[in-house]
Amino acid sequence: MTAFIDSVEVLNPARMRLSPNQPSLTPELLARVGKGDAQAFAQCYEQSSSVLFTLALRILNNHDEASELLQDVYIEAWRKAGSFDPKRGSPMAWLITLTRSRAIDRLRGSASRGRNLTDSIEETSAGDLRSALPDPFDTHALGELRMLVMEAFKDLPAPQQEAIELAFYGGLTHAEIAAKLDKPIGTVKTRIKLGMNKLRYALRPCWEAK
Amino acid sequence: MSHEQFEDAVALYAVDALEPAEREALEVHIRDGCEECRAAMKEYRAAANLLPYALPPEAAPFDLQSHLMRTFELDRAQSGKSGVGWTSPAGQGDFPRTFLPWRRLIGQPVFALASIVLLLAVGIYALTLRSQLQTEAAQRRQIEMAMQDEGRRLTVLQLQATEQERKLNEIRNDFVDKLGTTRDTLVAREAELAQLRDRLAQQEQQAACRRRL
Ligand SMILES: [Zn+2]
Repeated sequence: MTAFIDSVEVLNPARMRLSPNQPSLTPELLARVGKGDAQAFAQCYEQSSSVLFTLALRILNNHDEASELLQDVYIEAWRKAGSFDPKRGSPMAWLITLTRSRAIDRLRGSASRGRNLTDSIEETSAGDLRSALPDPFDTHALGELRMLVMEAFKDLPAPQQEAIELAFYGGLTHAEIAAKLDKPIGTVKTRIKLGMNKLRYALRPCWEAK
Repeated sequence: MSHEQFEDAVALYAVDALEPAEREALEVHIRDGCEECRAAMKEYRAAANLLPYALPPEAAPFDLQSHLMRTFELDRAQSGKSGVGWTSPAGQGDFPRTFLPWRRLIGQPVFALASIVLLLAVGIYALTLRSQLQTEAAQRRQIEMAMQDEGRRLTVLQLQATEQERKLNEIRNDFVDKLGTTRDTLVAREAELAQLRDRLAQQEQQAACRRRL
């Protein structure tokens, strides 16, 4: 497992369009949080809280629960910040993965899928693979990133959007989505596959040099 | 399973839509060295992590940050991570052991020396304890200051709100004034209009009379 972690190299994002007015959530900032730097934590919070809260609210659909969840996520994040390995991906991607998995845990009850997401998402090989990401958050201004992603997602046919949302925000597997929509599993798989493939190409400018 | 089938599964893995067994199989396949699937996975994961940016953004609750900052300070104080943190005095653990065979030493010149060392050690320990207490007091002060900062920020916000309210009132009064003036003008114009109409009616009558004559 460790060998696998080490062998996943990170796509290095082109840092060509670093917006000067937007201090980004760098691995260095996260390392300072790990050392107990309150100012670094405040900065980290300002950089990430809106996106993470939006995500938690989308999954839990309850303001108070999302707020409570975000509190737990930040506490977990600063306790783990010291052991964050920048080779595994960007801090922002790490926080998004953490928030999503904790929110899905809460939504489904942690044992509901026969696995404990708390242990499996970011601590196993899968987690490392998930986090081995380029860092579009570092190279793009927030508004620009939102525009790009909104456009790309809006361009997908509605059934593909629905299937992706049920998986990502609903925490459902393809079989569960098929049952919920009363469609064949193959159809659901194809919808997710086509939709994600389109997103992957549309969003490529986010992590590639211009 | 063939590589093609795995490649299809990568997109589903990225949004966590695979069944546990399928997930594990794909992880093994990539771990076994399939570079194509590994590269695809990185991009799919990057795309999936951007999904929340397509949602209409919501601001986190107003009081969450201050609450978290307080918890952070407390956590930091407890785990001794603060920059001015107290460090355990060197040799503290050895200190009793060094002086365990004290009985044998009574009456020997070395005992006097040992006593002095003991006194010194106790003194140093006391000083360290004092500095620890001071550090803790400093941390408490920091937390209090952070809370005061919050209070100050709140006061600023209140002042801003009052100022906004004042401006709003000004604008409203101004508006009411202008409205009043406009109404007066309107009434005057209406009166003029009525007079004109009267005059017109008179002239029409006169014209009608003249025509009859
Ligand atoms: Zn493959």
